[in-house]
Amino acid sequence: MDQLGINLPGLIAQLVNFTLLFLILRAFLWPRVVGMLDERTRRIRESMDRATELQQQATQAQQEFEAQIQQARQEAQEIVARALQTAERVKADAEGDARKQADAIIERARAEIQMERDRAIADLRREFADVTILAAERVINQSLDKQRHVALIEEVLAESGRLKSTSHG
Amino acid sequence: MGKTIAIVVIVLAIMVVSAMVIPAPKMPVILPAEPVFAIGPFIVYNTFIAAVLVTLVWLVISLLATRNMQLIPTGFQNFVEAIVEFLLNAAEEVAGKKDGRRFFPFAATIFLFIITANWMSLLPGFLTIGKAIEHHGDLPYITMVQPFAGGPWIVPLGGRLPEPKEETHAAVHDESAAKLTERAAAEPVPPGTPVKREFIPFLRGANTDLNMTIGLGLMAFLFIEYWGISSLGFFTYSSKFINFKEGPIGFFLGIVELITEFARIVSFGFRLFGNLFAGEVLLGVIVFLIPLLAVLPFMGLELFVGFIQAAVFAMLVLVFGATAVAEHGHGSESHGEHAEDGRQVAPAHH
Amino acid sequence: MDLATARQFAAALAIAVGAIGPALGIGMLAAKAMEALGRNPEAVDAIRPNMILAIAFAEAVAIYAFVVALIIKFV
Repeated sequence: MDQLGINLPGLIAQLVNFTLLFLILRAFLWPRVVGMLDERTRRIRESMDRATELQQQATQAQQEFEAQIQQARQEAQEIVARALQTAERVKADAEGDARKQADAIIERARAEIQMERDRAIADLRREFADVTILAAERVINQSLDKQRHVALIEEVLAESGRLKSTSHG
Repeated sequence: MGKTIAIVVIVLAIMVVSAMVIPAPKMPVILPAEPVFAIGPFIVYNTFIAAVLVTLVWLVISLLATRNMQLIPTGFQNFVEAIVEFLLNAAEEVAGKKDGRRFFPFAATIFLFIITANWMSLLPGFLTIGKAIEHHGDLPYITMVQPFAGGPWIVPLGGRLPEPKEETHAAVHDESAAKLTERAAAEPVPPGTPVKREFIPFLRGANTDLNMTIGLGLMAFLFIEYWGISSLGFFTYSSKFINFKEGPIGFFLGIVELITEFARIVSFGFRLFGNLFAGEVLLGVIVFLIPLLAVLPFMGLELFVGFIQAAVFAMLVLVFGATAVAEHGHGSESHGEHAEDGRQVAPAHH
Repeated sequence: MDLATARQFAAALAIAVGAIGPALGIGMLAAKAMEALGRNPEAVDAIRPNMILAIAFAEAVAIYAFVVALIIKFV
């Protein structure tokens, strides 16, 4: 044993030294570093979980947001459509009113014209009758009595009236 | 291409010239560790100094690395954490998640101690700085005559013993011994005793000492038995070895198992010692043959051997530990698991 | 042949013969491991530790031979 260098004091010394190293490492290195490694693993897992969660939330939020935008767009389109419709209706109404008014004005104007014409015709007829009587008096020189006269004129007038209405009508 | 050839030629030239010019120290093969000094009755060996250095190195590293730990590691802390993580993963892989954690502190300490001691022993200064002593053929630490005779020696490149001048070389034990006895005559040593000169390096790789390696083997043995007993209970655990239930063959196998258990101390200790000591001798022989440069590739080899031995020691501790805490059988369980893993991976490739 | 010479021879023979078996065993182990690696390079993490372990077991035999050689030579 001596030749191989094995001796009890040397063995014990080396064992004590190694035990000391083991205790030092067990006291200082292993728990702290392994604890740190575990802590880091835990943190990383946690933060990754949180990141996944956040991502999900973000995705969800984006989906909601997009849905809202979609809705808003739809609403806006509806509003625009409605406004267009209203405008169309208003325009149509305005057009109808204007036409009606114009029609009314034209109608009135036509009625007035008619009335003026009627009156003018009546005036003309009266004057014409007077003129005719006058003329006839002059021509006939009162050969006829007044009654016959008027009748004659009426007849003539009726005839001329019929004549006029045929030419008119 | 021409550059490479030029480099090769220069290297070869340096090697050849150094072999002719530099008087290389001869490498004696000395199994026991050399004593350097004594504190009272306690003798301090050079391997013990190296082992204490390893402890100090790791004490300093532990304190530095854990002094101000950050969650986001930088520099040195990162380095130490990477080592610990590598060891922890390896332990969990070999011995399983739960047992790996349990065995980790001891196995990792073994690994770090062995690899640090091995690699440290390749540093300059190991085996090359020391003192020459003169003694009378007895073990030097018993009759240490002139502790610092000849002063401290510095021997180039891994050699150990600076022989006296060439002409006295052959006669060191008889003729020159007579000269040396004159000097030693002042000491209370019977005159006429032949005097031997020996070079005692201050530092020598811790694992080239059987005390160290067998101590480690003993330590591993104790831890493995402790793990087994503490997790199975004394009687369940010892029933692995003293087994009456399975007939005479079972009993015999149990006894063989028990012997194997103790033989582990020897195989642990001598495996480490043999590899490291052989490496030391190898480097010494290479330096003796070619003093310059030729030793470099062998240093690389020794780096590799140092790592492999540390890994093998730690891995065997883990595997034996896993076997010890396993419920039944003789410990083929953990191997079986691994082999099965291998087989499971294998067909997937085809 | 005196006792010292006989011891030298015995020690040398012990380690020389004792190393043959483990050497062959380690060679076979490594060859098989390489074969397995060649067949399935992905399994390197499963193969390597097992290979080293098995080599360590084979090597233990050589270590016993080494111990015996040392004992013959020195004890």
